[in-house]
Amino acid sequence: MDITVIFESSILQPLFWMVMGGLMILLFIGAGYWLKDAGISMSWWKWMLSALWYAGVYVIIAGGFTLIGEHEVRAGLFFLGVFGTVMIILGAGLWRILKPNG
Amino acid sequence: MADKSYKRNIIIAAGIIVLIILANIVGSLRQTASEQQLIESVFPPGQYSLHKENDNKWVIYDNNRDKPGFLYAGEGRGYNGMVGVLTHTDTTGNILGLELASHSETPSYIDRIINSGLLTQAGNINIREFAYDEPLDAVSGATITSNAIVIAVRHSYLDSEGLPREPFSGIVFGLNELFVILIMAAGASLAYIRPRKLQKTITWMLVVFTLVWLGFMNNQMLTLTRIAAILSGYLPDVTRELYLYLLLGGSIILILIFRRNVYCHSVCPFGSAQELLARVKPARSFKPSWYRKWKWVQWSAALLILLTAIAMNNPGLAQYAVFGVFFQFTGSTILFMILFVTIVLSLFIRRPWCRFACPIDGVFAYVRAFTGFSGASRQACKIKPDGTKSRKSCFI
Repeated sequence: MDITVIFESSILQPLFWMVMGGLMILLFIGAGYWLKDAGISMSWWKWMLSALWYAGVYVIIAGGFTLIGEHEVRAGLFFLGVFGTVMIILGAGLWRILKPNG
Repeated sequence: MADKSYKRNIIIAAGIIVLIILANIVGSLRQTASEQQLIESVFPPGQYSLHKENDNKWVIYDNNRDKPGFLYAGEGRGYNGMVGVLTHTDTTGNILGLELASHSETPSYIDRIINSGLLTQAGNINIREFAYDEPLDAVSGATITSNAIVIAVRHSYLDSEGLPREPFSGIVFGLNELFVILIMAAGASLAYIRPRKLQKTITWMLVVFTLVWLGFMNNQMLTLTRIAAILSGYLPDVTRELYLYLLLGGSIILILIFRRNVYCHSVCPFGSAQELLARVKPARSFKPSWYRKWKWVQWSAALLILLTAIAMNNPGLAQYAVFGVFFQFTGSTILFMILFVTIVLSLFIRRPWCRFACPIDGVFAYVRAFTGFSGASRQACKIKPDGTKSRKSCFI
């Protein structure tokens, strides 16, 4: 049996996204415990801001590497560099909101 | 102690003058390509034959002695020096091609001009249209260089045909100049304003205004390349860049009179950007034990690069600041990486670029050395009652 057939299976992509979804749930549950441990009290809007920031990071990583994958290396690096820097700045601002004395 | 600092200031100031003169002598000794060599580099003698009509115009043929045309040579005032342009036309004056023959512009500006297609856009235009008009739009982010190209074509045509150049348009005192004066005055007054709240309000107004107006909207700031160009003897066009004279002259005068570096503290748009970033986290002041020694490294690097740029007749070499990258998105990959590191560091350390890398800080430190000639500075360098040296007016 040719092993490459397994990688061409149409079931792999849905399985991949199901695993990714599971990892996301674990990540958010873990984040909840970590925030509690760090003494950071979270409200619904803080969770919302954190989730938005996290989604933004994901979109930028996905967008940048998609461009690189499509042989637009310069555009991809530019995208990652510019918007990645913006997300780092926003992340620092978010951290200040989450932990004002940190 | 006071005498020691005073003497050191005099030695440094005199040394800088001597070094700049020497660098200029080295620069003038460097062989520059003659006009003929520049033309032959673009139109090789093997493929073209040229017959000079006057100082600005040649009749040009290709090897088969057909397709005759004209070649015009002229110069316009650029960002760092004169921009030499060769214009190839047919016999009716329609432009066949524009070539940059010589320039000392910052490479990223030239890249921007080439990528914008400015040189190829001229292909459909008659050279006569350049006489008293501007048939090409300036390239955003390289306005001065693109204007210099248009003016070079215009002057080559007017001079070659014996036509009068456009009359001197006079010095324009516009909004930019007014704002530069107001910003400098506000920055200088900060030290004398006592109510803390008012001082804070003015500081934040300056931060926002310099960042938006001077930085993002007009990209008007002091760079080492401009200072290298000026020290090489190239004076920017006062009719178009009066603000630069006000910015540089005002900063130097304020240092010489009040011994305060108002530009770096209150005017520099990149300093304002770092100040804003410092408020995000908020950042802390970082002054390691080796800070004062590092200052000498920072300032020496600025001086070394400045002298190299002057000696090489190429002010563009002095571009290692990240201002252009931040405000115009132009520059090399290395500069983009330096900017990234600077921005991230600014979240944790107050003004890391100003304190550890900025060449302009070095330039003004050397200007501060010239205050050592005044008696007031001599007094101010004395030991304070608590045993420490007053550093306000001393070089370091």
